[in-house]
Amino acid sequence: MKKSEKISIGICVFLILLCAFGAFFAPNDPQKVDLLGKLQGPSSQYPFGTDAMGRCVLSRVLYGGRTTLVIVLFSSILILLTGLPIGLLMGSARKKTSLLGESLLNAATALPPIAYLIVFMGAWGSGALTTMVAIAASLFLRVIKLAKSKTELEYAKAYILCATAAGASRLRLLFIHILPNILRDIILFLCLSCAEMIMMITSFSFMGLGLGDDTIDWGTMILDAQKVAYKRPDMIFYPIAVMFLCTLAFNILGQEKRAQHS
Amino acid sequence: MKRYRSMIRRIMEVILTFFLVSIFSFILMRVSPVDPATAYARRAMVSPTPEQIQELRVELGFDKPLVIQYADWVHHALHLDFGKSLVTGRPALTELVQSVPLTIKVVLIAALIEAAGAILAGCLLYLLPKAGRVIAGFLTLAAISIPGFYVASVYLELFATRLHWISVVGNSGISRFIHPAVCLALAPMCFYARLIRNELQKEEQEDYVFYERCRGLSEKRILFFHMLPHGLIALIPSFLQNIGLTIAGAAIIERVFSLPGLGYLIIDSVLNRDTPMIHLEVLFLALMLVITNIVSDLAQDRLLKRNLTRGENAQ
Repeated sequence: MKKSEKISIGICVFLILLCAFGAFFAPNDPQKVDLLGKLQGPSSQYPFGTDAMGRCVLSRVLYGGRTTLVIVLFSSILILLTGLPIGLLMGSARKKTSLLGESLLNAATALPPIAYLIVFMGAWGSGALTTMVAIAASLFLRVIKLAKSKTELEYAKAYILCATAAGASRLRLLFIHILPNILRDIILFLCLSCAEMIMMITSFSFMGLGLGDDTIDWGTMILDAQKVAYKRPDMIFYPIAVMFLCTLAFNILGQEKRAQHS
Repeated sequence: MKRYRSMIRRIMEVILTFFLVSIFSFILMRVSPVDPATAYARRAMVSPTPEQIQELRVELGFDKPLVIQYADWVHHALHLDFGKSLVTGRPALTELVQSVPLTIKVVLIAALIEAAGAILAGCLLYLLPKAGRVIAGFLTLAAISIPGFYVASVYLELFATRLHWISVVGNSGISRFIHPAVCLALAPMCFYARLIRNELQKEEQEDYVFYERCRGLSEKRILFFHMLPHGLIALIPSFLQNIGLTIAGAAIIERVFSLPGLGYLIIDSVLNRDTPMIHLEVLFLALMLVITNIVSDLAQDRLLKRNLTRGENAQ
Protein backbone atom coordinates (compact mmCIF):
# COMPACT_ATOMS: atom_id res chain seq x y z
CA MET A 1 0.00 0.00 0.00
CA LYS A 2 1.34 3.40 -0.91
CA LYS A 3 1.80 6.04 1.73
CA SER A 4 -0.65 8.44 0.10
CA GLU A 5 -3.29 5.74 0.12
CA LYS A 6 -2.70 5.08 3.79
CA ILE A 7 -3.11 8.78 4.52
CA SER A 8 -6.32 9.11 2.55
CA ILE A 9 -7.80 6.01 4.19
CA GLY A 10 -6.80 7.43 7.57
CA ILE A 11 -8.46 10.77 6.84
CA CYS A 12 -11.63 9.09 5.63
CA VAL A 13 -11.95 6.83 8.64
CA PHE A 14 -11.25 9.80 10.90
CA LEU A 15 -13.98 11.85 9.19
CA ILE A 16 -16.52 9.05 9.49
CA LEU A 17 -15.71 8.49 13.15
CA LEU A 18 -15.91 12.22 13.75
CA CYS A 19 -19.40 12.33 12.26
CA ALA A 20 -20.45 9.28 14.24
CA PHE A 21 -19.07 10.32 17.62
CA GLY A 22 -19.04 14.10 17.20
CA ALA A 23 -22.12 14.32 19.39
CA PHE A 24 -19.89 13.87 22.45
CA PHE A 25 -18.25 17.19 21.69
CA ALA A 26 -21.46 19.10 21.04
CA PRO A 27 -21.21 22.48 22.79
CA ASN A 28 -24.94 22.81 23.56
CA ASP A 29 -28.05 20.76 24.09
CA PRO A 30 -29.44 20.25 20.56
CA GLN A 31 -33.04 20.24 21.78
CA LYS A 32 -32.84 23.36 23.92
CA VAL A 33 -35.24 25.93 22.49
CA ASP A 34 -34.35 29.59 22.93
CA LEU A 35 -36.96 31.64 21.10
CA LEU A 36 -35.35 34.94 22.05
CA GLY A 37 -32.06 34.01 20.44
CA LYS A 38 -33.35 32.58 17.19
CA LEU A 39 -31.52 32.85 13.86
CA GLN A 40 -28.40 34.26 15.44
CA GLY A 41 -25.21 34.42 13.43
CA PRO A 42 -22.16 32.43 14.46
CA SER A 43 -20.84 33.37 17.89
CA SER A 44 -18.53 31.83 20.45
CA GLN A 45 -21.41 30.16 22.25
CA TYR A 46 -23.09 28.97 19.04
CA PRO A 47 -20.26 28.38 16.52
CA PHE A 48 -22.71 27.84 13.61
CA GLY A 49 -25.40 30.14 14.96
CA THR A 50 -28.94 29.17 15.91
CA ASP A 51 -31.90 27.97 13.88
CA ALA A 52 -35.49 29.22 13.68
CA MET A 53 -36.21 27.91 17.17
CA GLY A 54 -32.99 29.15 18.69
CA ARG A 55 -31.33 25.77 18.81
CA CYS A 56 -27.59 25.38 18.34
CA VAL A 57 -26.92 24.41 14.72
CA LEU A 58 -23.51 22.86 15.38
CA SER A 59 -24.86 20.56 18.07
CA ARG A 60 -27.76 19.58 15.84
CA VAL A 61 -25.42 18.81 12.94
CA LEU A 62 -23.33 16.60 15.21
CA TYR A 63 -26.33 14.79 16.67
CA GLY A 64 -27.80 14.39 13.18
CA GLY A 65 -24.57 12.73 12.11
CA ARG A 66 -24.80 10.37 15.05
CA THR A 67 -28.36 9.37 14.13
CA THR A 68 -27.59 8.72 10.49
CA LEU A 69 -24.25 7.02 10.96
CA VAL A 70 -25.42 4.80 13.78
CA ILE A 71 -28.20 3.53 11.53
CA VAL A 72 -25.88 2.97 8.59
CA LEU A 73 -22.88 1.56 10.44
CA PHE A 74 -24.92 -0.63 12.73
CA SER A 75 -26.79 -2.25 9.86
CA SER A 76 -23.55 -2.69 7.89
CA ILE A 77 -21.84 -4.44 10.80
CA LEU A 78 -24.88 -6.58 11.40
CA ILE A 79 -24.86 -7.58 7.74
CA LEU A 80 -21.13 -8.27 7.82
CA LEU A 81 -21.57 -10.60 10.79
CA THR A 82 -24.60 -12.46 9.45
CA GLY A 83 -24.67 -12.18 5.66
CA LEU A 84 -21.00 -12.90 5.06
CA PRO A 85 -20.87 -16.30 6.83
CA ILE A 86 -24.10 -17.37 5.16
CA GLY A 87 -22.73 -16.35 1.77
CA LEU A 88 -19.48 -18.21 2.46
CA LEU A 89 -21.30 -21.37 3.45
CA MET A 90 -23.60 -21.15 0.46
CA GLY A 91 -20.68 -20.61 -1.87
CA SER A 92 -18.86 -23.63 -0.47
CA ALA A 93 -21.76 -25.99 -1.06
CA ARG A 94 -20.10 -28.14 -3.71
CA LYS A 95 -23.14 -29.36 -5.54
CA LYS A 96 -24.70 -26.90 -7.92
CA THR A 97 -27.26 -24.89 -6.06
CA SER A 98 -30.76 -25.46 -7.20
CA LEU A 99 -32.31 -23.39 -9.91
CA LEU A 100 -34.96 -22.32 -7.47
CA GLY A 101 -32.57 -21.12 -4.78
CA GLU A 102 -30.52 -19.10 -7.17
CA SER A 103 -33.54 -17.57 -8.85
CA LEU A 104 -34.87 -16.66 -5.45
CA LEU A 105 -31.66 -14.84 -4.59
CA ASN A 106 -31.57 -13.09 -7.96
CA ALA A 107 -35.18 -12.06 -7.67
CA ALA A 108 -34.75 -10.64 -4.19
CA THR A 109 -31.62 -8.69 -5.07
CA ALA A 110 -33.21 -7.22 -8.18
CA LEU A 111 -35.14 -4.70 -6.11
CA PRO A 112 -33.26 -1.49 -5.38
CA PRO A 113 -32.80 -0.39 -1.73
CA ILE A 114 -35.19 2.51 -2.31
CA ALA A 115 -38.01 0.02 -2.96
CA TYR A 116 -37.34 -1.63 0.39
CA LEU A 117 -37.48 1.75 2.07
CA ILE A 118 -40.77 2.54 0.35
CA VAL A 119 -42.38 -0.72 1.40
CA PHE A 120 -41.15 -0.62 4.98
CA MET A 121 -42.03 3.03 5.47
CA GLY A 122 -45.40 2.55 3.84
CA ALA A 123 -46.13 -0.33 6.16
CA TRP A 124 -44.63 0.72 9.44
CA GLY A 125 -44.55 4.46 9.15
CA SER A 126 -41.31 6.39 9.07
CA GLY A 127 -38.88 6.09 11.94
CA ALA A 128 -35.29 5.31 12.77
CA LEU A 129 -35.93 1.64 13.48
CA THR A 130 -37.93 1.16 10.28
CA THR A 131 -35.14 2.74 8.28
CA MET A 132 -32.55 0.52 9.91
CA VAL A 133 -34.57 -2.64 9.25
CA ALA A 134 -35.21 -1.61 5.65
CA ILE A 135 -31.53 -0.93 5.01
CA ALA A 136 -30.44 -4.16 6.65
CA ALA A 137 -33.01 -6.15 4.67
CA SER A 138 -31.96 -4.60 1.37
CA LEU A 139 -28.26 -5.20 2.02
CA PHE A 140 -28.56 -8.65 3.57
CA LEU A 141 -29.35 -10.62 0.42
CA ARG A 142 -26.99 -8.55 -1.68
CA VAL A 143 -24.08 -9.34 0.59
CA ILE A 144 -25.01 -13.02 0.62
CA LYS A 145 -25.08 -13.05 -3.16
CA LEU A 146 -21.78 -11.22 -3.45
CA ALA A 147 -20.04 -13.41 -0.87
CA LYS A 148 -21.41 -16.52 -2.53
CA SER A 149 -20.18 -15.67 -6.00
CA LYS A 150 -16.79 -14.54 -4.68
CA THR A 151 -16.39 -17.74 -2.69
CA GLU A 152 -17.20 -19.79 -5.76
CA LEU A 153 -14.50 -17.93 -7.67
CA GLU A 154 -11.94 -18.45 -4.92
CA TYR A 155 -12.70 -22.15 -4.71
CA ALA A 156 -11.32 -22.66 -8.20
CA LYS A 157 -7.92 -21.24 -7.26
CA ALA A 158 -4.83 -23.29 -6.63
CA TYR A 159 -4.26 -22.31 -3.03
CA ILE A 160 -7.52 -23.97 -2.06
CA LEU A 161 -6.33 -27.19 -3.64
CA CYS A 162 -3.06 -26.92 -1.71
CA ALA A 163 -4.84 -26.17 1.54
CA THR A 164 -7.18 -29.11 0.99
CA ALA A 165 -4.20 -31.33 0.27
CA ALA A 166 -2.62 -30.14 3.50
CA GLY A 167 -5.67 -31.41 5.31
CA ALA A 168 -7.57 -28.21 6.06
CA SER A 169 -11.16 -28.70 7.10
CA ARG A 170 -13.98 -26.98 5.29
CA LEU A 171 -14.48 -24.38 7.99
CA ARG A 172 -10.77 -23.68 8.10
CA LEU A 173 -10.76 -23.26 4.33
CA LEU A 174 -13.65 -20.87 4.52
CA PHE A 175 -12.74 -18.69 7.44
CA ILE A 176 -8.93 -18.78 7.44
CA HIS A 177 -8.15 -18.95 3.75
CA ILE A 178 -11.06 -17.60 1.75
CA LEU A 179 -12.46 -14.99 4.11
CA PRO A 180 -9.39 -12.70 4.07
CA ASN A 181 -9.38 -12.80 0.30
CA ILE A 182 -12.97 -11.78 -0.18
CA LEU A 183 -13.34 -9.50 2.83
CA ARG A 184 -11.90 -6.58 0.91
CA ASP A 185 -14.53 -6.78 -1.79
CA ILE A 186 -17.34 -7.05 0.72
CA ILE A 187 -16.10 -4.04 2.65
CA LEU A 188 -15.74 -2.09 -0.57
CA PHE A 189 -19.32 -2.90 -1.40
CA LEU A 190 -20.50 -1.93 2.06
CA CYS A 191 -18.60 1.38 1.96
CA LEU A 192 -20.19 2.33 -1.33
CA SER A 193 -23.64 1.33 -0.14
CA CYS A 194 -23.13 3.26 3.11
CA ALA A 195 -22.62 6.41 1.06
CA GLU A 196 -25.73 5.62 -0.94
CA MET A 197 -27.73 4.91 2.20
CA ILE A 198 -26.72 8.15 3.90
CA MET A 199 -27.90 10.09 0.89
CA MET A 200 -31.12 8.12 0.75
CA ILE A 201 -31.93 8.58 4.43
CA THR A 202 -31.31 12.30 4.16
CA SER A 203 -33.34 12.59 0.98
CA PHE A 204 -36.27 10.77 2.52
CA SER A 205 -36.30 12.85 5.65
CA PHE A 206 -35.94 15.96 3.47
CA MET A 207 -39.18 14.93 1.80
CA GLY A 208 -40.98 14.51 5.07
CA LEU A 209 -40.39 10.80 5.58
CA GLY A 210 -38.18 11.51 8.53
CA LEU A 211 -36.80 9.40 11.29
CA GLY A 212 -39.40 10.45 13.83
CA ASP A 213 -40.46 13.69 15.44
CA ASP A 214 -37.87 14.11 18.14
CA THR A 215 -34.97 12.58 16.22
CA ILE A 216 -32.47 15.05 14.88
CA ASP A 217 -31.28 14.34 11.37
CA TRP A 218 -29.72 16.15 8.46
CA GLY A 219 -32.64 15.95 6.06
CA THR A 220 -35.04 17.73 8.40
CA MET A 221 -32.36 20.30 9.20
CA ILE A 222 -31.84 21.02 5.52
CA LEU A 223 -35.59 21.39 5.05
CA ASP A 224 -35.84 23.76 8.02
CA ALA A 225 -32.84 25.74 6.84
CA GLN A 226 -34.40 26.16 3.42
CA LYS A 227 -37.41 27.84 4.96
CA VAL A 228 -35.29 30.52 6.62
CA ALA A 229 -32.81 30.85 3.77
CA TYR A 230 -33.76 34.49 3.25
CA LYS A 231 -32.47 35.34 6.72
CA ARG A 232 -29.64 32.88 7.23
CA PRO A 233 -28.58 31.64 3.78
CA ASP A 234 -25.51 30.02 5.31
CA MET A 235 -27.46 27.73 7.62
CA ILE A 236 -28.22 25.15 4.93
CA PHE A 237 -24.54 24.61 4.21
CA TYR A 238 -23.59 23.15 7.58
CA PRO A 239 -25.61 19.94 7.42
CA ILE A 240 -24.97 19.65 3.68
CA ALA A 241 -21.23 20.11 4.12
CA VAL A 242 -20.89 17.58 6.93
CA MET A 243 -23.00 15.07 5.10
CA PHE A 244 -21.06 15.65 1.91
CA LEU A 245 -17.77 15.03 3.73
CA CYS A 246 -19.19 11.86 5.15
CA THR A 247 -20.46 10.39 1.86
CA LEU A 248 -17.30 11.53 0.11
CA ALA A 249 -15.21 9.71 2.72
CA PHE A 250 -17.20 6.52 2.20
CA ASN A 251 -16.93 6.84 -1.57
CA ILE A 252 -13.18 7.44 -1.42
CA LEU A 253 -12.78 4.43 0.86
CA GLY A 254 -14.68 2.34 -1.66
CA GLN A 255 -12.58 3.59 -4.57
CA GLU A 256 -9.38 3.21 -2.59
CA LYS A 257 -10.08 -0.43 -1.88
CA ARG A 258 -10.89 -1.00 -5.50
CA ALA A 259 -7.63 0.55 -6.63
CA GLN A 260 -5.68 -1.70 -4.28
CA HIS A 261 -7.46 -4.72 -5.53
CA SER A 262 -6.70 -4.16 -9.18
CA MET B 1 -30.46 -27.25 -24.64
CA LYS B 2 -28.43 -24.74 -22.73
CA ARG B 3 -30.39 -21.97 -24.36
CA TYR B 4 -33.71 -23.40 -23.21
CA ARG B 5 -32.36 -23.82 -19.73
CA SER B 6 -31.39 -20.20 -19.49
CA MET B 7 -34.74 -19.17 -20.92
CA ILE B 8 -36.65 -21.26 -18.40
CA ARG B 9 -34.50 -19.84 -15.68
CA ARG B 10 -35.21 -16.30 -16.78
CA ILE B 11 -38.95 -16.84 -16.89
CA MET B 12 -38.82 -18.46 -13.48
CA GLU B 13 -36.91 -15.53 -12.15
CA VAL B 14 -39.48 -13.10 -13.46
CA ILE B 15 -42.36 -14.99 -11.92
CA LEU B 16 -40.49 -15.43 -8.66
CA THR B 17 -39.64 -11.76 -8.53
CA PHE B 18 -43.28 -10.77 -8.83
CA PHE B 19 -44.34 -13.38 -6.34
CA LEU B 20 -41.71 -12.34 -3.81
CA VAL B 21 -42.32 -8.66 -4.24
CA SER B 22 -46.06 -8.92 -3.90
CA ILE B 23 -45.97 -11.25 -0.92
CA PHE B 24 -43.25 -9.20 0.73
CA SER B 25 -45.13 -5.93 0.48
CA PHE B 26 -48.35 -7.66 1.42
CA ILE B 27 -47.08 -9.29 4.58
CA LEU B 28 -45.32 -6.15 5.73
CA MET B 29 -48.43 -4.05 5.29
CA ARG B 30 -50.52 -6.41 7.35
CA VAL B 31 -47.97 -7.12 10.06
CA SER B 32 -47.47 -3.47 10.74
CA PRO B 33 -47.74 -2.12 14.29
CA VAL B 34 -50.34 0.36 13.10
CA ASP B 35 -53.60 -1.21 12.05
CA PRO B 36 -54.27 -0.15 8.44
CA ALA B 37 -57.99 0.25 9.02
CA THR B 38 -57.40 2.49 12.04
CA ALA B 39 -54.87 4.54 10.15
CA TYR B 40 -57.28 4.97 7.27
CA ALA B 41 -60.15 5.88 9.57
CA ARG B 42 -58.05 8.48 11.36
CA ARG B 43 -57.37 10.17 8.08
CA ALA B 44 -60.84 9.93 6.66
CA MET B 45 -62.82 10.98 9.73
CA VAL B 46 -62.19 13.47 12.48
CA SER B 47 -62.59 11.18 15.46
CA PRO B 48 -63.65 7.70 14.41
CA THR B 49 -65.54 5.47 16.82
CA PRO B 50 -64.49 1.82 17.22
CA GLU B 51 -67.66 0.77 15.39
CA GLN B 52 -66.78 2.94 12.42
CA ILE B 53 -63.28 1.49 12.34
CA GLN B 54 -64.72 -2.01 12.44
CA GLU B 55 -67.07 -1.15 9.59
CA LEU B 56 -64.20 0.16 7.53
CA ARG B 57 -62.15 -2.93 8.30
CA VAL B 58 -64.89 -5.14 6.90
CA GLU B 59 -65.37 -2.84 3.95
CA LEU B 60 -61.67 -2.85 3.07
CA GLY B 61 -61.40 -6.59 3.66
CA PHE B 62 -58.83 -6.31 6.45
CA ASP B 63 -60.81 -8.64 8.74
CA LYS B 64 -60.18 -11.79 6.70
CA PRO B 65 -57.16 -14.06 7.27
CA LEU B 66 -53.94 -13.00 5.58
CA VAL B 67 -53.85 -15.86 3.09
CA ILE B 68 -57.36 -15.15 1.86
CA GLN B 69 -56.60 -11.46 1.58
CA TYR B 70 -53.55 -12.26 -0.49
CA ALA B 71 -55.42 -14.71 -2.68
CA ASP B 72 -58.14 -12.11 -3.21
CA TRP B 73 -55.58 -9.53 -4.13
CA VAL B 74 -53.81 -11.84 -6.60
CA HIS B 75 -57.14 -12.84 -8.11
CA HIS B 76 -58.05 -9.21 -8.66
CA ALA B 77 -54.56 -8.27 -9.79
CA LEU B 78 -54.67 -10.91 -12.49
CA HIS B 79 -57.74 -9.12 -13.78
CA LEU B 80 -55.79 -5.87 -13.64
CA ASP B 81 -57.80 -4.62 -10.71
CA PHE B 82 -55.39 -3.36 -8.10
CA GLY B 83 -57.93 -1.80 -5.80
CA LYS B 84 -58.67 1.83 -5.22
CA SER B 85 -56.39 4.48 -3.85
CA LEU B 86 -57.35 5.18 -0.25
CA VAL B 87 -56.67 8.88 -0.75
CA THR B 88 -58.32 9.81 -4.02
CA GLY B 89 -60.71 6.88 -4.31
CA ARG B 90 -59.78 6.35 -7.94
CA PRO B 91 -58.54 3.00 -9.28
CA ALA B 92 -54.87 2.54 -8.43
CA LEU B 93 -54.01 1.47 -11.95
CA THR B 94 -55.45 4.68 -13.46
CA GLU B 95 -53.38 6.77 -11.08
CA LEU B 96 -50.25 4.86 -11.98
CA VAL B 97 -50.81 4.89 -15.72
CA GLN B 98 -51.30 8.65 -15.62
CA SER B 99 -48.00 9.32 -13.94
CA VAL B 100 -45.72 6.78 -15.59
CA PRO B 101 -45.17 8.39 -19.03
CA LEU B 102 -43.75 11.51 -17.42
CA THR B 103 -41.23 9.55 -15.41
CA ILE B 104 -40.25 7.38 -18.37
CA LYS B 105 -39.60 10.49 -20.44
CA VAL B 106 -37.47 12.07 -17.74
CA VAL B 107 -35.53 8.87 -17.19
CA LEU B 108 -34.89 8.29 -20.88
CA ILE B 109 -33.71 11.86 -21.42
CA ALA B 110 -31.53 11.47 -18.35
CA ALA B 111 -30.10 8.24 -19.77
CA LEU B 112 -29.20 10.00 -23.01
CA ILE B 113 -27.51 12.83 -21.12
CA GLU B 114 -25.73 10.30 -18.94
CA ALA B 115 -24.41 8.32 -21.90
CA ALA B 116 -23.20 11.33 -23.87
CA GLY B 117 -21.79 13.10 -20.84
CA ALA B 118 -20.09 10.03 -19.46
CA ILE B 119 -18.32 9.27 -22.73
CA LEU B 120 -17.12 12.86 -23.06
CA ALA B 121 -16.05 13.17 -19.45
CA GLY B 122 -14.50 9.71 -19.44
CA CYS B 123 -12.28 10.52 -22.42
CA LEU B 124 -11.44 13.86 -20.88
CA LEU B 125 -10.43 12.18 -17.63
CA TYR B 126 -8.27 9.78 -19.59
CA LEU B 127 -6.60 12.46 -21.70
CA LEU B 128 -5.87 14.97 -18.98
CA PRO B 129 -2.33 15.24 -17.64
CA LYS B 130 -1.67 13.67 -14.26
CA ALA B 131 -2.41 16.66 -12.03
CA GLY B 132 -5.60 17.47 -13.90
CA ARG B 133 -6.60 13.85 -13.76
CA VAL B 134 -6.37 13.75 -9.99
CA ILE B 135 -8.39 16.95 -9.60
CA ALA B 136 -11.02 15.93 -12.15
CA GLY B 137 -11.21 12.49 -10.58
CA PHE B 138 -11.87 14.07 -7.22
CA LEU B 139 -14.54 16.32 -8.73
CA THR B 140 -16.40 13.38 -10.22
CA LEU B 141 -16.24 11.61 -6.87
CA ALA B 142 -17.59 14.74 -5.21
CA ALA B 143 -20.47 14.89 -7.70
CA ILE B 144 -21.38 11.33 -6.80
CA SER B 145 -21.39 12.23 -3.12
CA ILE B 146 -23.88 15.10 -3.33
CA PRO B 147 -27.48 14.02 -2.81
CA GLY B 148 -29.80 14.55 -5.77
CA PHE B 149 -32.30 16.71 -3.95
CA TYR B 150 -29.63 19.27 -3.11
CA VAL B 151 -28.37 19.31 -6.70
CA ALA B 152 -31.94 19.93 -7.82
CA SER B 153 -32.52 22.67 -5.24
CA VAL B 154 -29.34 24.47 -6.18
CA TYR B 155 -30.13 24.07 -9.87
CA LEU B 156 -33.53 25.67 -9.38
CA GLU B 157 -32.17 28.35 -7.11
CA LEU B 158 -29.42 29.25 -9.53
CA PHE B 159 -31.10 29.06 -12.93
CA ALA B 160 -34.66 29.91 -12.01
CA THR B 161 -34.44 32.34 -9.11
CA ARG B 162 -31.14 34.08 -9.67
CA LEU B 163 -30.51 34.00 -13.39
CA HIS B 164 -34.10 33.62 -14.65
CA TRP B 165 -32.92 31.32 -17.44
CA ILE B 166 -35.67 28.82 -16.85
CA SER B 167 -39.13 29.17 -15.46
CA VAL B 168 -40.36 26.84 -12.79
CA VAL B 169 -44.02 26.77 -13.76
CA GLY B 170 -45.90 26.57 -17.02
CA ASN B 171 -43.24 24.74 -18.93
CA SER B 172 -44.43 22.62 -21.78
CA GLY B 173 -42.73 20.38 -24.26
CA ILE B 174 -39.24 19.13 -23.70
CA SER B 175 -38.12 21.89 -21.36
CA ARG B 176 -40.43 20.44 -18.75
CA PHE B 177 -38.39 17.26 -18.66
CA ILE B 178 -34.94 18.42 -19.45
CA HIS B 179 -34.19 20.21 -16.19
CA PRO B 180 -35.11 17.30 -13.91
CA ALA B 181 -33.28 15.01 -16.32
CA VAL B 182 -30.08 17.04 -16.05
CA CYS B 183 -30.18 16.85 -12.24
CA LEU B 184 -31.00 13.18 -12.35
CA ALA B 185 -28.17 12.45 -14.77
CA LEU B 186 -25.37 14.22 -12.91
CA ALA B 187 -24.37 11.54 -10.40
CA PRO B 188 -24.61 8.49 -12.70
CA MET B 189 -22.83 10.45 -15.40
CA CYS B 190 -19.83 11.03 -13.16
CA PHE B 191 -19.98 7.45 -11.96
CA TYR B 192 -19.80 6.09 -15.49
CA ALA B 193 -17.19 8.64 -16.52
CA ARG B 194 -14.91 7.12 -13.88
CA LEU B 195 -15.66 3.62 -15.09
CA ILE B 196 -14.96 4.59 -18.69
CA ARG B 197 -11.65 6.08 -17.63
CA ASN B 198 -10.75 2.83 -15.86
CA GLU B 199 -11.74 0.79 -18.89
CA LEU B 200 -9.65 2.99 -21.17
CA GLN B 201 -6.65 2.58 -18.90
CA LYS B 202 -7.14 -1.17 -19.04
CA GLU B 203 -7.52 -1.19 -22.82
CA GLU B 204 -4.33 0.80 -23.17
CA GLN B 205 -2.35 -2.27 -22.05
CA GLU B 206 -3.87 -4.49 -24.74
CA ASP B 207 -1.82 -5.80 -27.62
CA TYR B 208 -4.05 -4.39 -30.30
CA VAL B 209 -3.36 -0.83 -29.14
CA PHE B 210 0.34 -1.46 -29.49
CA TYR B 211 -0.22 -2.93 -32.93
CA GLU B 212 -2.25 0.05 -34.01
CA ARG B 213 0.42 2.43 -32.82
CA CYS B 214 2.86 0.47 -34.95
CA ARG B 215 0.52 0.81 -37.89
CA GLY B 216 0.94 4.53 -37.49
CA LEU B 217 -2.64 5.39 -36.62
CA SER B 218 -3.08 8.66 -34.83
CA GLU B 219 -3.65 8.58 -31.08
CA LYS B 220 -7.08 10.18 -31.54
CA ARG B 221 -8.11 7.53 -34.00
CA ILE B 222 -6.92 4.75 -31.72
CA LEU B 223 -8.82 6.25 -28.78
CA PHE B 224 -12.13 6.99 -30.44
CA PHE B 225 -12.39 4.19 -32.98
CA HIS B 226 -10.66 1.32 -31.22
CA MET B 227 -10.24 1.70 -27.48
CA LEU B 228 -13.51 3.48 -26.74
CA PRO B 229 -15.82 0.94 -28.43
CA HIS B 230 -13.99 -1.91 -26.70
CA GLY B 231 -14.24 -0.23 -23.34
CA LEU B 232 -17.89 0.69 -23.75
CA ILE B 233 -18.96 -2.86 -24.55
CA ALA B 234 -18.03 -3.93 -21.05
CA LEU B 235 -20.12 -1.16 -19.51
CA ILE B 236 -23.30 -1.36 -21.59
CA PRO B 237 -25.02 -4.10 -19.54
CA SER B 238 -24.52 -2.27 -16.27
CA PHE B 239 -25.64 0.98 -17.86
CA LEU B 240 -28.87 -0.58 -19.06
CA GLN B 241 -29.50 -2.02 -15.62
CA ASN B 242 -28.90 1.39 -14.15
CA ILE B 243 -31.77 2.86 -16.15
CA GLY B 244 -34.14 0.66 -14.17
CA LEU B 245 -32.64 1.87 -10.92
CA THR B 246 -32.94 5.47 -12.06
CA ILE B 247 -36.72 5.08 -12.34
CA ALA B 248 -36.81 4.38 -8.63
CA GLY B 249 -34.30 7.11 -7.89
CA ALA B 250 -36.26 9.72 -9.85
CA ALA B 251 -38.71 9.99 -6.97
CA ILE B 252 -36.60 12.51 -5.10
CA ILE B 253 -35.85 14.75 -8.07
CA GLU B 254 -39.48 14.75 -9.16
CA ARG B 255 -40.48 15.83 -5.71
CA VAL B 256 -38.17 18.85 -5.83
CA PHE B 257 -39.34 19.83 -9.31
CA SER B 258 -42.99 19.16 -8.36
CA LEU B 259 -43.32 16.96 -11.41
CA PRO B 260 -46.40 14.75 -11.01
CA GLY B 261 -44.62 11.60 -12.11
CA LEU B 262 -44.29 8.15 -10.62
CA GLY B 263 -41.84 9.25 -7.96
CA TYR B 264 -44.17 11.96 -6.77
CA LEU B 265 -46.95 9.42 -6.56
CA ILE B 266 -44.77 7.00 -4.62
CA ILE B 267 -43.76 9.51 -1.99
CA ASP B 268 -47.34 10.70 -1.66
CA SER B 269 -48.66 7.23 -1.10
CA VAL B 270 -45.94 6.41 1.40
CA LEU B 271 -46.71 9.63 3.29
CA ASN B 272 -50.42 8.75 3.30
CA ARG B 273 -49.81 5.03 3.84
CA ASP B 274 -52.00 4.31 0.87
CA THR B 275 -51.69 0.50 0.86
CA PRO B 276 -53.14 -0.46 -2.55
CA MET B 277 -51.05 2.20 -4.26
CA ILE B 278 -47.86 1.06 -2.57
CA HIS B 279 -48.46 -2.55 -3.61
CA LEU B 280 -48.94 -1.53 -7.20
CA GLU B 281 -46.03 0.90 -7.29
CA VAL B 282 -43.54 -1.54 -5.87
CA LEU B 283 -44.77 -4.15 -8.30
CA PHE B 284 -44.33 -1.69 -11.12
CA LEU B 285 -40.80 -0.85 -10.00
CA ALA B 286 -40.03 -4.55 -9.94
CA LEU B 287 -41.47 -4.90 -13.45
CA MET B 288 -39.25 -2.10 -14.73
CA LEU B 289 -36.19 -3.64 -13.10
CA VAL B 290 -36.99 -7.06 -14.48
CA ILE B 291 -37.32 -5.58 -17.96
CA THR B 292 -34.06 -3.65 -17.78
CA ASN B 293 -32.29 -6.67 -16.27
CA ILE B 294 -33.44 -8.89 -19.11
CA VAL B 295 -32.43 -6.33 -21.70
CA SER B 296 -29.05 -6.00 -20.04
CA ASP B 297 -28.61 -9.81 -19.92
CA LEU B 298 -29.48 -10.07 -23.58
CA ALA B 299 -27.08 -7.27 -24.44
CA GLN B 300 -24.36 -9.00 -22.48
CA ASP B 301 -24.94 -12.31 -24.26
CA ARG B 302 -24.99 -10.67 -27.64
CA LEU B 303 -21.92 -8.52 -27.04
CA LEU B 304 -19.95 -11.35 -25.49
CA LYS B 305 -20.76 -13.58 -28.41
CA ARG B 306 -19.64 -10.90 -30.82
CA ASN B 307 -16.39 -10.47 -28.96
CA LEU B 308 -15.76 -14.21 -28.92
CA THR B 309 -16.32 -14.64 -32.64
CA ARG B 310 -14.08 -11.70 -33.28
CA GLY B 311 -11.37 -13.32 -31.17
CA GLU B 312 -11.68 -16.55 -33.12
CA ASN B 313 -11.40 -14.73 -36.43
CA ALA B 314 -8.29 -13.03 -35.26
CA GLN B 315 -6.68 -16.35 -34.52
